[in-house]
Amino acid sequence: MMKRREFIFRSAQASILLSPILSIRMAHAQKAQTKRLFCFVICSGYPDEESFFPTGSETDFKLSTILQPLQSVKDQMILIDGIDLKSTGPNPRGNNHLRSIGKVLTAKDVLEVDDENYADSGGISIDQLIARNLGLETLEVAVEDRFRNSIREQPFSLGPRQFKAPLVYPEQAWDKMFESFKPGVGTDKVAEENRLLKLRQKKSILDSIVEDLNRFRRELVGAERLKLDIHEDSLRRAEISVQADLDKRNVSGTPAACSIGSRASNDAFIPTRGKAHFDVMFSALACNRIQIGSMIWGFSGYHWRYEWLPDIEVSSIHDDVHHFPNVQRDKYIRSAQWDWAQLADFVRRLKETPDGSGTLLDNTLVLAIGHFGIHHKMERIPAILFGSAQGQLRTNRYVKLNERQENGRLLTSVAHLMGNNIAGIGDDLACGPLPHIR
Amino acid sequence: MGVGLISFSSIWDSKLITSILVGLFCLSCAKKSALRFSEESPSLSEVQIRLLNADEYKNSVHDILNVEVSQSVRHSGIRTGYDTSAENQMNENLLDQLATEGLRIAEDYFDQRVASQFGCFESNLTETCALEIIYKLGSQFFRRTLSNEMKSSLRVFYARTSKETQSVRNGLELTLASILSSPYFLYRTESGGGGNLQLDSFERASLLSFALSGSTPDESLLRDAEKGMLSNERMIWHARRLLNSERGKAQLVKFFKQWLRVSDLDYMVTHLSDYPKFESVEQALSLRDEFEKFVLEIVMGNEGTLKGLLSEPITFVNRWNAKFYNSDVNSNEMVKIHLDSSKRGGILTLASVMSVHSSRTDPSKDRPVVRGTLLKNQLFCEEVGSPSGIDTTRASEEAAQKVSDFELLSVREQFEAMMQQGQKCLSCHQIFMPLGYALGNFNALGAYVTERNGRVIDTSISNFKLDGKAVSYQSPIELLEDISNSERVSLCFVKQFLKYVTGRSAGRDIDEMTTKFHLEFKKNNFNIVELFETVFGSEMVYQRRRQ
Repeated sequence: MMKRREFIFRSAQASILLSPILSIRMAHAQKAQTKRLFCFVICSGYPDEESFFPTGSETDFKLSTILQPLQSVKDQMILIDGIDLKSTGPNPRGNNHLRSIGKVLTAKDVLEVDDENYADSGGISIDQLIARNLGLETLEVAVEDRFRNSIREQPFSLGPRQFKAPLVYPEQAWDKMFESFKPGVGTDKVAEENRLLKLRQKKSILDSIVEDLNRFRRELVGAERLKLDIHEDSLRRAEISVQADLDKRNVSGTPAACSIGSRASNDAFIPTRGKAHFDVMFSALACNRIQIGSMIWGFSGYHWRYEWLPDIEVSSIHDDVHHFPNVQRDKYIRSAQWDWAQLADFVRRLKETPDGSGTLLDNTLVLAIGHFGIHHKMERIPAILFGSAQGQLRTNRYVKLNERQENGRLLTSVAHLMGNNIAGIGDDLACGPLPHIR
Repeated sequence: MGVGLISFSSIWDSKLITSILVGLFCLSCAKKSALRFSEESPSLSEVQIRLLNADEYKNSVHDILNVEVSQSVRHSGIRTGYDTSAENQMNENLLDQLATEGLRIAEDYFDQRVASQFGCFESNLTETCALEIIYKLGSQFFRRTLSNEMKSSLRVFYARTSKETQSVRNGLELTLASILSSPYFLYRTESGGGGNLQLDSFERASLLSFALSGSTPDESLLRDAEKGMLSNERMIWHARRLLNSERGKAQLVKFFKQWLRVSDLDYMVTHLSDYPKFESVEQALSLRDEFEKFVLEIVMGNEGTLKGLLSEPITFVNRWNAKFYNSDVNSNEMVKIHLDSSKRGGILTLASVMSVHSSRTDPSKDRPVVRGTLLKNQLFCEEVGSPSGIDTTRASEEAAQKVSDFELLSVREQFEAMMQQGQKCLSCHQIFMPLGYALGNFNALGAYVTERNGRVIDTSISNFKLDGKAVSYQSPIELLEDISNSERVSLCFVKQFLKYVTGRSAGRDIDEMTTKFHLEFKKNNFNIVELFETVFGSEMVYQRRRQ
């Protein structure tokens, strides 16, 4: 078990100060055409390979039953068969539940803590890494009925032991994205003044925290100061967002595709909540409020009852269906189909929305990835890319890898497609990208 | 002359000898103290700071300002088994939420509440009044007398913002919002105020208040802290006072809910559709209320002991949960009833506790794995490891396919069939499953049953290792009788409380405090309130060492 002092130090090592990034982020924001990324972590696996993987060849393939809902965007997808999460390191209680969700976007083993029901993030997740390196803005959400702050719903991370907790309530996500953003208000002086006033107030508050943090830190000794380093890092990121809004970057350069619906509802009914989150995410990307969106659909071992689907209603989809993939095959397939159908709607919307000389999907790379294949195995995990990444990818393909590859290589490919040429991520920082993707 | 000299010399010698003896004695004391300190210091708790959890934040705001926090501000989970964990950290999303919420709270406060606390706000809002408000609120939220530096910082911030906005009121709002986002509010410290090895009086007040009331120290505690009057005896007095307050009782119940992992009793009420086994929200409410009333009745009542908590055959029912006990109570109000002691006794046999550790949908389906690990982890402090390297999906499904009429078996029979899939499964499950089987008479509603699908429920266990000896039981009551008298269980209970108080789950300091406080717990006949008082009346809890 890692000593406490050691883990706090490791957290601090991963806590990168942002000041060198500030100039990169502001410069990046000036570009007319910005590449975007949407990471979708899906928590339903599949009962057997036949129900998930297509049949046919690389360019002439037929979608499986579970992926049927993706038919309308098949021409935009690349399904990659043969991605594994390598099974190494500690396996805290939960039969791969904690290990897999902690590794799916980080490619790094989770870290142990005192509580066997819990674990800590082992490294930075790909969405946060790209955002940090390219100076991009992000939004992280979880489609769940309530907040748990458990590793099971936190695949997004800023570094070792630094989860970036997703927002569970659509209202929160909406407020974060749009409370101080009103496209087209340039001529409405009163609305603009109110917007700027709220932003200045928030900036004042954040500035006051900096002073207090410095004073507070002086009064502490040793490793506890490092908790404040993490606090300060969080503060700087928040300041960047507020400053960007104050600079009116988003108002004056609002993309044509930008439209914002009314404030999202916090209705806990999963279909409603999922749609609300997708709506906020769509608008946030379309309005260039963020360039990287991340969503976890459910959580590892989630308990949705799927009562909105005919003849499925169960106590817990994971305990009663995923644990019985043969006996409950029909329910497994239908519930997983519904999950993928929600993503399909989102991808279709991106595809149908003009953006610059193409569509939003042309300029948005979508990564859909699961942490389990056949329950609770971490092999042949669902891994699908959507969008051509501005012409870098040949889509409408089913890529069956000659040999199994670890997810770190897929994540590295994603980074390269976003223009961030990292050598690798996670357990192997030199793993390189996947072959045969482009 | 010679006699005189001899006399004087004698007197001098005796003084010298006395001085030498006294000096030697003092040297001996000092050496003992030094030894005791250096012997004790490795087992002292480390200096730490702790982020307020969601309830602590919400309660503090409510108690000081009488303003409600938005429901969607949530920022802590249960990490050490308790939401008081010292490992919770700030992150960007949370910081943004808190900054936004701080502005909203401040606006609400100055719109509606301030006048009731500060008369000068409406009658005479001068600079003096504004500073009075700021310093008072700052002191309350920062949980200590403000230093000159803190006062200066708040004053400067207020002056700047009121000038920028050209409004005293706006300056006050922003200053309050900055207080609500300040690390001095958001973190509670256990650092001895800058390097000492003792928590200062304000830190002691915070430790006690958050543990026993889930909120910021009130005026009485802060006043005593300011005057340096928080002796160990005075801390016990405050502990008793807080335990008897409404906030204290709610916090007490919360600790027991987290200890027995039944926090979902609250969730059941607000998310009834996830629990179709219940007939109505009133039924879910009755179970939640049953648990709360039972805890308060035992812990704060005449019984008061851990043994009573684990064995007393009483509960509280109304018309909605009475059927789980075959009771004919028909009132809307909760009524105390006595139970058949051959079937039930103590908190573990309450319908509320058993229903949480069961299927959400199938009223007949209990969960022996969950119940068994609950007892192992939370009552015996014996951690059960994870099923590494085993595909449990395969095990359960293969059993379901091999055994005919699998769904019609009793729950125990189903699990015993699944265990036959491999020695790996059996070797681990035999450590805790029997404890779950022994509670098999309580179905998913917490009702006492003897059959499932027409098959007799077997709750007997034989040759099971408990407390270091092999035991056999025929019924849950026999098991629970031994549990309620178990030395190990009482030791574990002390440890669980210390985990909750310190925010950490392991360490030599936790172990040594557990041993020390358990001795007192025993002497006090395992009285729970006296245990809490002993902990907060002991200097050991307030000593720290550098990391």
